[in-house]
Amino acid sequence: MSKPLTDLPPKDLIDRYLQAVGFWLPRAQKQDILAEISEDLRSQFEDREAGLGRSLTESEVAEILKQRGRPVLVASQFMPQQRGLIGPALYPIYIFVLKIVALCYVVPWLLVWFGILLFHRTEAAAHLSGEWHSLGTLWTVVFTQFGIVTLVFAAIDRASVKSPCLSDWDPRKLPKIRVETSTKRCFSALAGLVFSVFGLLWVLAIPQYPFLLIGPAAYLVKGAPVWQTVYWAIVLLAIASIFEHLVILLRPQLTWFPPTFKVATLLLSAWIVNALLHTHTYLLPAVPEGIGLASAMNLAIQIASVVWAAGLLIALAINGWQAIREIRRSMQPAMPHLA
Amino acid sequence: METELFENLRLELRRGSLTLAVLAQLRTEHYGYALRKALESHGLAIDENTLYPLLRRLETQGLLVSHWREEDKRNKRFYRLSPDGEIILYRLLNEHEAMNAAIDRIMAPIPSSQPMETGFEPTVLEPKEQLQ
Repeated sequence: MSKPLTDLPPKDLIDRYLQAVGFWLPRAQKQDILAEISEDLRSQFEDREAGLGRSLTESEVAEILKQRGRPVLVASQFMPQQRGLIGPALYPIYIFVLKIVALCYVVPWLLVWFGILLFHRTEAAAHLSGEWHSLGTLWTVVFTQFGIVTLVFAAIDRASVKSPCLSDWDPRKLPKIRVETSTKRCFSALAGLVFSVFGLLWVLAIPQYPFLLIGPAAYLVKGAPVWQTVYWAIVLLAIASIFEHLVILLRPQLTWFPPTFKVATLLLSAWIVNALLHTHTYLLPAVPEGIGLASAMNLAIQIASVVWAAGLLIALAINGWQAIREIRRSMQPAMPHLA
Repeated sequence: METELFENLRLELRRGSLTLAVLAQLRTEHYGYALRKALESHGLAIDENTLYPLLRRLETQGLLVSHWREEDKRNKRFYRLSPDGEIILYRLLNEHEAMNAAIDRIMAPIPSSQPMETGFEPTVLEPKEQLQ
């Protein structure tokens, strides 16, 4: 026998349904659409309960949700309607798979390619032609992969138009709610603050105790003048990290702040990396035995700087985009939270 | 095959009528669920998965305006016709009436004194058959 709705974890089934629908919705409209679907569902449940004169059972709630349709199909109705190869029912899944392909293949490839390009920046232009050629190969492969994904989805779309699996599903098998509680957020910000304070102390101690950074090698090598140029910026970054975590802890509602502030700190990091990329000497031998070690560590730091530069560019793009989105969202009228 | 064809044509016919009905109903302000019930009470049931995307599309096109407001301790999104929507609605209603009148004239029984050029006898559908 089905349990009455009131005995269930509060709104569990509905929230799981909304979460599943939200997964496929465009992020910009997600909250707004879910709030409206949520309100409609609750009104429908109230109506039904008033008609029956009792609370709905779990099975009855599941039945109503089932009638609404699979979450992906419900979400697809809110996507731009197109009459292309991929129908609206499969369109959100198709976009999701394309994103995975881009994330797992294109982004790492671009990162490596950019690293190689930066590493060879001081060499003759003729040496760069190979890298440019490999970029062309990348796009060929990307278009091939996207093409294959598109064709596969087009075939599935044609085959699944009348598939019974579109209507035969059970809302009770939807994934559990993922909750990020305020306690969790608070703990995370607090841990970040503690680590930032230790980070600042560590950075301040390094000039006096270089073994904190390079271990026993500190007896064989010493820092080159470039570190004196960038040291103040590194200290500033450590202080900025403390400030960032303090604001997140004390003003968690300022969702635009973390990505915006991150853009500022990334720009400072970019300045540091730029300074590091303009030299090949990061460490000098402190004793004659340290010559070989200094040379090996200089090469390692140069490679690390190149990779860091590539990572910074990607992080700047991501955080810049997030910052713009959050600022625009904070300027919009308040959106209701899901009841 | 015939059923599928009918279903496709029915959906096509219904799509335009739904837009018209929604615009007409929203001459007075409604929130989503109340709008569904109002349309249903007039004999036009509409699936929520059709209604909400339609409302958003009409709002994007500037024919509706909406805002969130608390009612009965719950936040609800209320829609109503915009000034542009009113103009479009009345133009569409005129078009709809003209089309209905034309179809009525086409479907009207042909007087027996006028022989058909095709040589076939005209078939006048009974209301029940017309609905099927």
